[in-house]
Amino acid sequence: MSTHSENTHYLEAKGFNNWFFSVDHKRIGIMYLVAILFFFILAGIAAMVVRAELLYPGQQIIDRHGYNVAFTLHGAMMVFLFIVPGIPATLGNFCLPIMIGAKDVAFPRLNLLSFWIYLLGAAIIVFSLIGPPGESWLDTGWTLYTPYSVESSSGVIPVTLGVFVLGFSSILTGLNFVVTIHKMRAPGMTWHRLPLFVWALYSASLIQILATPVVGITLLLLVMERTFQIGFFTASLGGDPILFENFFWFYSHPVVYIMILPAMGVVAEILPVFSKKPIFGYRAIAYSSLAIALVSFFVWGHHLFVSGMSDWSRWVFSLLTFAVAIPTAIKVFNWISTLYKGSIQLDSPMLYACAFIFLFTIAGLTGLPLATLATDVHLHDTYFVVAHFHYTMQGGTVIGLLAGIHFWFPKIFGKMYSEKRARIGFWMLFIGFNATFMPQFVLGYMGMPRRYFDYLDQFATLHFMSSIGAFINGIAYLYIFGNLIHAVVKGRAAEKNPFGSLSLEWTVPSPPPLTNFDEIPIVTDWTYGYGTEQTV
Amino acid sequence: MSEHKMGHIQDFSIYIKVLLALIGLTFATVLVSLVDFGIFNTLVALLVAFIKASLVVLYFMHGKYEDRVTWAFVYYPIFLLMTLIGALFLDYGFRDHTHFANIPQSYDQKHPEAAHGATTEEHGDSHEAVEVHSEETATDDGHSSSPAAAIESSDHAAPAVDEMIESHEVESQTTAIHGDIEAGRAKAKILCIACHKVDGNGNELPGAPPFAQTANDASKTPELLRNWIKNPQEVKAGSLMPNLGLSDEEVDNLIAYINTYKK
Amino acid sequence: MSEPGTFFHLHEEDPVEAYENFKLGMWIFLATEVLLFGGLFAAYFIFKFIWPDIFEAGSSHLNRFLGGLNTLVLIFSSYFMAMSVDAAQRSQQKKLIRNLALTLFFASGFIIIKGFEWIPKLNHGITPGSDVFFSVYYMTTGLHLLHVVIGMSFIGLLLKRAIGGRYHSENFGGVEVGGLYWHLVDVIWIFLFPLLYLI
Repeated sequence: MSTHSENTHYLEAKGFNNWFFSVDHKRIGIMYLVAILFFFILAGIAAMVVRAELLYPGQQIIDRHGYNVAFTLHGAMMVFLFIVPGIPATLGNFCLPIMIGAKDVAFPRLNLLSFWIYLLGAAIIVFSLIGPPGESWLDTGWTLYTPYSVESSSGVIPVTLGVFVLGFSSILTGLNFVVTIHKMRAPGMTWHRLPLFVWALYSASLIQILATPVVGITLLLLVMERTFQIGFFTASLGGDPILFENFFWFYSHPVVYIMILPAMGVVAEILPVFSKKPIFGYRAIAYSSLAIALVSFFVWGHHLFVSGMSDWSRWVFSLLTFAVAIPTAIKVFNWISTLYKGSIQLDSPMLYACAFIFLFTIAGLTGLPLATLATDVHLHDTYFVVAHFHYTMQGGTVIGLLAGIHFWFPKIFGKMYSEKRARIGFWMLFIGFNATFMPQFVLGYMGMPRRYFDYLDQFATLHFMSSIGAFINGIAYLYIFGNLIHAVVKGRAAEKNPFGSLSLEWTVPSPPPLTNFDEIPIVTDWTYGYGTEQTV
Repeated sequence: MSEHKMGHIQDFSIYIKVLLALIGLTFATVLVSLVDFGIFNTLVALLVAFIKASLVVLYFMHGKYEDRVTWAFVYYPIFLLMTLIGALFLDYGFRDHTHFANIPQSYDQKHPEAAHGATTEEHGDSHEAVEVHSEETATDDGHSSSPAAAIESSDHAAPAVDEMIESHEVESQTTAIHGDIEAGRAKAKILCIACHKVDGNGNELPGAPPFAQTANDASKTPELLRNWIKNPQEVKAGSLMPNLGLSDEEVDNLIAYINTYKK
Repeated sequence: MSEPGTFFHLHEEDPVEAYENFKLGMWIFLATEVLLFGGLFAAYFIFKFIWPDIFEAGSSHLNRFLGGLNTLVLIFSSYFMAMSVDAAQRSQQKKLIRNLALTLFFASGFIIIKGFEWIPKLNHGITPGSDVFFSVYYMTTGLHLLHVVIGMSFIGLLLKRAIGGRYHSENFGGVEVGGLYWHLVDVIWIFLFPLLYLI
C-alpha cells in the first residue's frame, strides 16, 4: 500500500489489464455500466423494429417470423442482459461499499468473477444470433414457454444456457452484497442509519439469491427436454407444460422486484437531497423494501390466471397480489410526504425522481385490474399488460437508473454534464414514453392482443401514435446518452458535493480514490438530516 | 484485532455419536418403509430424513454455533420451498384430473417384456428392449440421435411418419390421382397451413415434412397418402398429424394438390 | 499490478472477518442450492401426486440395496469431512490429510456405485425419457452426481493445499467452507434416497 496509490483516483489507470482484471468495485461497476448500456441499445433497436412494423396495418419492414424474432430479442435482451443486472450491478456496485463506509465489497474477486460470468452468458446469447435470422434466431418470446420452446426449431438451447449462466452472475452479485451489508458496515453504521438505497439493494439481493436458482433448474430442465426428451414439461410422458409456467414465474415475478427495488432506493436517495428535508418515514420505507422482497415470492400465480390453474389457486394468488400493493403504496406515500413543504429544486435527477413517482403510480394502479380475476380474463395478454409492465420497467426502473446516473454522475466521473441538455433530454423521454404506452392501455382495453404481427384497421390510429411516441422515445435516449458521453469527455470538473448530499459517498473526492477512504469513517447519525443542524 | 475466536472446536466424541445415529437412522428409514402407512408413507420418510439432515447441519456443519443471520438463510429457503410446493398443490390438487387428453404410460406398460428384467437383476442380460429400439433408431432421420428418443419415438413422433409410410410400401399399389387441384389448394390453405407451408405461406412445424418432400418421395404412393390423411393414428399411432375428418373426395383433392409439388 | 484493488493485491483484511464473511457467503450459497434442488423436489411431489402408479412402477425398478449402500457411503464421507475440519482446527496436519483422503475415497465409491446403478438401467433401455418417474430420477440423481463431482474437485484442492501445509488452527476457513458444501451434498442425498428408492 504505497502512498502513491492512496492518492490516485480509480479512473486514472488506463489499459485493458488494469480494468479487466481489476477487482475494484468502482471499475467493475463502470464495466457493467458500459456492457448493460450496449445491450440496452441493441434491445432498443429491436423495439424500434417492432414499432416500425406496427406503424400501419399489414406488413411493413419485416415478415411474420421476423416480427416474432424482433419482439423476442427485445424482451430477452432487455430483461436478462439489461434490466436484471441494471441498477445493482452498476450503481449498486459503485455506491454500496462507499455508502456503508467500506473499502470494497466482501468478496472482490467474486465480484469480478460475476462480471466475467455475465460476459460469458451474454456471449452465449449473442452467439445464438450468429446464423441466418430466418431459422436459428429465437422466436419463442422471452418467456420461453413450453411446449413451443421444446418444439421450436429456433436457437432455444443457446439462449436458455446463456440465461442459465447469467443466473450465476446474478446470484454471486446478490450474495456479495448481502455479505457486504451484513459484515462490512463502518463503525456506527447501524441498520437504521443505512441509506435507503442500501436497504433496497439488500432486499433486491435477497430475491436474486433465492429466486434465481429456481429458474436455473427450470431452464436446465428445458435444455434437457430438448436434448434428451425427458418428460417434465411434456404431457405425453406425464409432465405438464403449465409446470414450466409455475416455475418460470416463481423466479420471473420476484425478478420484477429485483428490477424495481433498487430504482426505488435511488429515488429515496434523491428526494430528500433536492427537497432539503429529512426523508419522511425512514423505517416504513426501509421495511417495506424488505416486505416487498418477502411477499413478492407468493404472487407468481397471477401470470397463470387464464392458463387453466385451479380456482382455489386463482383467488389465493389474486389476494396475495393485492397484498404486495400495500408496501409499494407505503413507499409512494412516504416519498410524497417527503416532498411536502420541502424547498424543492428541480434539477435533472429530481425531475427523473418525480417522473418515477408519477409513472410508477400509474404502473401500480393499472396492475390492480390485472390482479382482479374478472378483469384479468378480459385484459390478459392484451396491450394493456404490455403498457402496464413498460410503465413499471421503463417508467420505473429505467427512469430510476437515469435518475441515479444523473445524480451520481459527478461522483462517478468527476465531471459535470450540461444541466440544460439533461432537462431537454428528460422532457423528450417523458413525452415520448407516455406517447408510446398511454395509447397501448386503450388498445389493450379495446381488445388488441399482444405479440401480434398485424392488426385490424380500427386499431390503426392508436398504433400509429404509439409508434411515433416510440421513435421520440428512442431519439430521447440517444440525446441523453450523447449529453452524458459528451460530459465524460469534455465536461467541466465537478465539485466534491454539487448537490449538497449528506451521504458518505459525497465525503470522498470525485472521482473517489482507489481505496475509497484513507481511514474508515465513524458514523454518528443517519444520512437524511437535511435542514437540521447536521447540514452546516 | 482478532480478539474473538475463529470457529468452534467441538468435543471429539460428538462426531462419532452423530455418525452412529446417522447409520442407525438409515437402517430405520429402510425398515420403516416396509410398513405401509398409506398416505403417510411420504411423511414418515420425510420425517426421518429431516432428523438426519438436522444432525448433519447441527453437528457436522457446526450449525449449532452459527448466528441468527446464518440460520435465517437456512430457514427462509426451506420456507420458500414449502410455499412453492404448497402453492403447486393448491393448483394441481384442485384441478380436474378426469379430463386428461392422454394418459401417459409408465415404462413397464410400454415395455411389458422388459418389466421384470431390470427390476432386481441389475446385471441380468435381457436386452430385448434395447434391440427392438435400435432398429427404430437406425431408420430414424437423425432427429432422435439420443437414446431417449429411441424409446419415445412413438410419442414424440412426427419424424417417424416417413418410416411408417415406408413400412407400408408393399401394400400400396394404386397410383391413380383423380382430384381437383384448386379445391385441394383451397382446403390446404384452411387446414394444412396450421403445420405445413402452403404455397410458401404458413407455419412449418418441426416434424411436419414439407409437401415437396412428400410429393417427391416415390415410396409415398397416393394410396398410402390416402390412408394416412384419412386416419393418421391408424398408420402411425401417436403421430402429431391429426385426423381431419375429411371425405374421400376432399382427400383426393388434397393429394392432387400435394402432387403439384412433384418435380 | 501492485496497486490495491487489483486481482493479485486485495485490500488488507482482518483474518477473522475474512473467515466470517467466507462462511456466511457459503451458507447463503447453500441456500441457493436448496432452491435449485427445490424445483426438482417440487416437480417430484407434483408428479407423484398426479401419477402415483407410474411412480410406484418406476420406483420398483430401483435397486434399494445399492441406494442404501450409497447413503451409508456418503454419510461416512461426510463424517470424515467433519473430522478433517476438526483436525484443521486442532492443527493436526497428518490427521487432516488422512481424513481428506478418506473423504475423497468414499466420494469416489459413491460415483462407482452410482455407475453400477445407472449403466445397467441404460442398457435395459430405461432412459430419462422412459416416463416421468425416470425423468425425475435421472435429473435429480444426475444433478446430485454433478454436485458430488464439483465437491470432489474442491476436496482435491483442499487436499493439495493441506499437503502444502496451508491449514492450521489460525487458518482453516477453506476446509470448513469446503466441508459445508460437501455436507449439503450429503443432506440432499439423505432426502433423495427415501423419496426415490423407498416410497
